[in-house]
Amino acid sequence: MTVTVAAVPDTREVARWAESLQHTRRDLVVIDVPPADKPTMGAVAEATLAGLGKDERLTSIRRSPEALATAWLTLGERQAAMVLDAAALPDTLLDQTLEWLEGLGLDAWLLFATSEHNDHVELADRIDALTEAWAADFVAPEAVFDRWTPGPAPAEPAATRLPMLPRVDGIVFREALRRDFDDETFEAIDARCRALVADLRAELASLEGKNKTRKFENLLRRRMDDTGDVEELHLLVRMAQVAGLCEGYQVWVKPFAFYGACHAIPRRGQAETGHWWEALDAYRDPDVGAATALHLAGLDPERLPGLRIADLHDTGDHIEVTSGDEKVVVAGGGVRYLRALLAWRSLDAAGDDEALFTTHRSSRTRQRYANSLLTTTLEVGVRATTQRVSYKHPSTHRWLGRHGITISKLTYTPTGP
Amino acid sequence: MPTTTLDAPTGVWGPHHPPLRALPEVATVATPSLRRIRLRLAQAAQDRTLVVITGTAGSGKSYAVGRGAEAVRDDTDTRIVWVELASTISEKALMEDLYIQVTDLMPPKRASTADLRRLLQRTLAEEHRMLIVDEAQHASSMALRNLRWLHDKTTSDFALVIVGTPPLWKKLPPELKSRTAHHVEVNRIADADVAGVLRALHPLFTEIDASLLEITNRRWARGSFRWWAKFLANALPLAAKAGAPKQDNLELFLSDLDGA
Repeated sequence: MTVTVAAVPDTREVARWAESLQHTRRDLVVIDVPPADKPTMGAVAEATLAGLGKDERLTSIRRSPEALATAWLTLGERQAAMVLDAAALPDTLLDQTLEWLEGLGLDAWLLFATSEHNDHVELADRIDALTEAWAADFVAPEAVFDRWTPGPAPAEPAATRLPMLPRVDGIVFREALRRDFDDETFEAIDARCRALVADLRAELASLEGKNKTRKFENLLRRRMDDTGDVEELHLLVRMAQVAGLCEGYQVWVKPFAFYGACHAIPRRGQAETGHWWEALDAYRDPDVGAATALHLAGLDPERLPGLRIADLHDTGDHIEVTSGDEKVVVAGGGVRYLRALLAWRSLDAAGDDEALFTTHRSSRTRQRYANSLLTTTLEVGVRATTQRVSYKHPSTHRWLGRHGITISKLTYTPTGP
Repeated sequence: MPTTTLDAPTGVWGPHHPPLRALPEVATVATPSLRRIRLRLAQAAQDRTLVVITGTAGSGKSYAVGRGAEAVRDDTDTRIVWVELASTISEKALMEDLYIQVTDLMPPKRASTADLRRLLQRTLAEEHRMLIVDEAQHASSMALRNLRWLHDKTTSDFALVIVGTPPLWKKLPPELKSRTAHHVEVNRIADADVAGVLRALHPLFTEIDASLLEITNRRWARGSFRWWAKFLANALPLAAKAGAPKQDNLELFLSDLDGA
């Protein structure tokens, strides 16, 4: 850990520069403790959570802000912490803050705001004492501004890559495409259609053993779950109808049930295209993101309340979760939430056999709590599930049924094209 | 608790002697201080900066700020929020008061200073405003620091105008001083200017000898605009009864007003 101290101009522009760092730098956490008569470590931790982009309104759990901030900072995403207006913090609190940051392995940048209206002798004495006690470097303001330049603004969500496709059955889909679009667009979409049909046919042809219809259902569900937007989903299902016909299956789609389900039933693929992980990062408690990650990985929501810490195994790359006979792997954007939750439970001195999801409310059952974790995410525009935790996870057959899709074998298999 | 005025109706911000506004033929005098304040307020509304205005009691600073705020409101799409502090005020009381003024709602029950600050931070980002804190010398140093914290945020969309008596500038925390774009000091009416200023204020004063006005200003009014406003409010009804007041009658008025 290194400690760097700088005296920067006490202006609104500097305060705003620091705030812009907070929004654009993922490797730095900016700690701006609001004015208070007697600031405490709790206030520093609250300011840290705010610096991490956590929304204080999105919590209903009484947890120590210090433990929560520590849990998030142990993820290793941030390499440094910048304390603004360090002169406003008492010496003892400044020492406590530095000890805390040292424990987390973060470099500390302490900015002392100064102007011609400040008592420079007193400020110089404080800075001298600090640099001596912490072997800190005292640098010019320019060095701070050069080191910490605001990063690029967060990217805008990408627009859907497909135009609105015709809402017709697979067998007439291509004809409708030709009718509705100009040649160039038709060619582009048609190329995707052909690739998709070839891909699905190859997968269907490779199915072996009994219950091939169920296997087709599983295959289709998995692929449907991975689609990011509605048009992709339409294209997939319509091409599955075509591929199914070629390989001896009938994929029957009830149009209105399907159109409704496309919008109403959440899919795993939406997590990336809908920027769910970024949105869930606004929660102070990692529980919400962790529950969503587990659900999207395929864990039955019914199992969430009973999940124990020992059921999770972090491989470094992903997290394996074993619950009874069910085993799922959490990878990608959801992993950090589970890691933060495990770190928080560890700080809470929880043993391996204790529950992963807990709440301070004794009157609230674990099931109700787990339910709230999955349903309250609407607050940030994320809906990972439409079903309550107490309901059983639908089977693939039922899940497809909710989309108005039924798969059966063709009695008479047509010959291939 | 502070006294506040909720969304004051047109043209009533600032005057501490309301009868003055009710008198006929009273004009707003464009003194150098008033012109400077108008200019600074217009700049602050445009740049969302911090302006501090100080002046002794009765010097007309609140009146001038009120007229400047009206001009800003009429010329730009700016909502004026006026908070007047009547007594010593803590940071929480100031935050509550601001919350009421800004949102027209009562603050949430059991909301802490931090909660109110966060709520205000979000609300103050929604619309372009000019926040005027009058009699700010009553605010604690921490209350003023909280104002600074709100004003610093990148999302904040308001100009901050802090008005008070001269001790305000001394007690202003360094971080507010360094952020002050303009500090306007409102001076009392100088003896040499009094005749011109008062004659622009009301035609009644054209009847009175300039030297007498000068003596009165030095002896009784001591350059206070408020004193002259009271004088006018008392003299005009009498003048309406007896015709224009003669110079001889002025001594009578003055003896009545002595010590006012």
